[in-house]
This record gives sequence, C-alpha cells and structure tokens, in this order.
Amino acid sequence: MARIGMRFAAAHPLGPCESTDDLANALNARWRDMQWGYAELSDEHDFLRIVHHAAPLRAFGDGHLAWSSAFLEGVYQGWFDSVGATGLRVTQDVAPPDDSRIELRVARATN
Amino acid sequence: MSTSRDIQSLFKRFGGDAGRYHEVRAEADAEVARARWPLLGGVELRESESQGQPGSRSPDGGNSLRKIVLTDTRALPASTPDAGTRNQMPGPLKKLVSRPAASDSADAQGSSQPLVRLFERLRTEETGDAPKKPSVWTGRS
Repeated sequence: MARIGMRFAAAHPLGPCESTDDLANALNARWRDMQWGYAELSDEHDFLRIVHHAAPLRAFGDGHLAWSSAFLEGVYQGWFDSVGATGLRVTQDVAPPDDSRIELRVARATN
Repeated sequence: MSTSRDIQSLFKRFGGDAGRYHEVRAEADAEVARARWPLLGGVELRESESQGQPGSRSPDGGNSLRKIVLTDTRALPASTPDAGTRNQMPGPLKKLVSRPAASDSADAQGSSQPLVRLFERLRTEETGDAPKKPSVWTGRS
C-alpha cells in the first residue's frame, strides 16, 4: 500500500512549495479534490506531525486499518520527497483506532 | 421489538428459515463507499500489499490511481464507478471532508516557515525539548 501511495503522489504532484503554508495548502487541495479528508501539519520540534482527518479507509474494512493507512504513509513520503525532504522519513505515529484521525510523523531517517 | 425478533416474526408469517437470513447492509455500505470515493474502487485487497514499504518513486508517474493500481495488482474491477456520484455526498459530511480544518483560535495557526529551513533542522538538529505550543498549519487560506 505504501508503494501504491508513492506512485499516487508521483501522479499527483504538489507543485512548487516554499513554505509550510504552501505545503499545507497544496496537500489539502489534492485531498479536497478527491474528498479524501484533510491534513494538519504541526511542528513538534524534533519531527513534523501530520494528522490526516476523515480518510475513507474504513471502506477496506475495520480490520484492515493497520495496513491500509500505509497508503497515506506512501503518499506523504512521495510528496515530502518532492518538496525537498530528502533524508526524512514519513512513518505512522501510532496505530490508528479508526480512520477519523491518522497520525504520521516526518523525521530524520534512522537507517 | 428487536431486529432479530422482527425477522423471526416475518419468516414465521410468510414461511422460510430465519436462520438463513443474511444481513446485506455491510456489503451495501461498501458499495456506496466505493461509488462515493472512486479511489477505493480501484484498489484490490491483497494480503501481500500490506507488506509494502515506501520505495523508489515511480519514474514514469501516471495519470490516475487506477493506472497505478493496475500496475501494482495486475487487476482492475469490472466496472468503473461514475465520478459524478462524488457529488451525492450529504451536505454536512461533504462540508466536513471537503474543507481543511478550521481551528477555533487564530492563535493556534503557526506562522509559516520556509520548508528548506524546516527540513534542514529536522535532518540535522539533535533532539531536545519540544516547544510548549507547536505551530500548526491547516492549509486554511
């Protein structure tokens, strides 16, 4: 799923982003086009947190959320790579209890 | 009267075996979801896909997720959901998923940072105390 997400990101480029506002606007414009929820970015100093709200991943089934959310991980990795986040890795922050709020973090790759 | 007793009563009245009753609502809900979010309709559930990790970016890109999924799963659903059904979402839900988060307080909105500086800091800076109130960006113009 993460690989599919990466390819999706490549097929739906964000365009030029210079600032965090640009990035948040571009991300949400893409999600809004598809009605796939919306994202918030927050600077946690050591990492950047992405909170993705209202992704319709429940359609895969409740038991599949642990891996289906990897799609978002791949999409954000692709998009962040495209705006210069080389060397940073997008990972799922905690296992989501439901698809209403999925948290990911962008931080320095450790390996 | 509970749903199960209601069904039992119906079968008793019209004949048949209530034990063979099959609830189809979940399937119907899934169908509606696939129609509403065409992106889901193009994804085939396969156990092996759950093992995927972010890898190298596709060199050729693609024009749609459907094309991407075709490449990855070598399978497509028989029918293509009508994109027009996207607009059939009930008003309040459409509003919820179509707009970025609106923070209650303008104070929660962080001042924009240059991405270059932010990424450089994340790449190089040692871990330390987090700020008490992190900057938040919601994409709200």
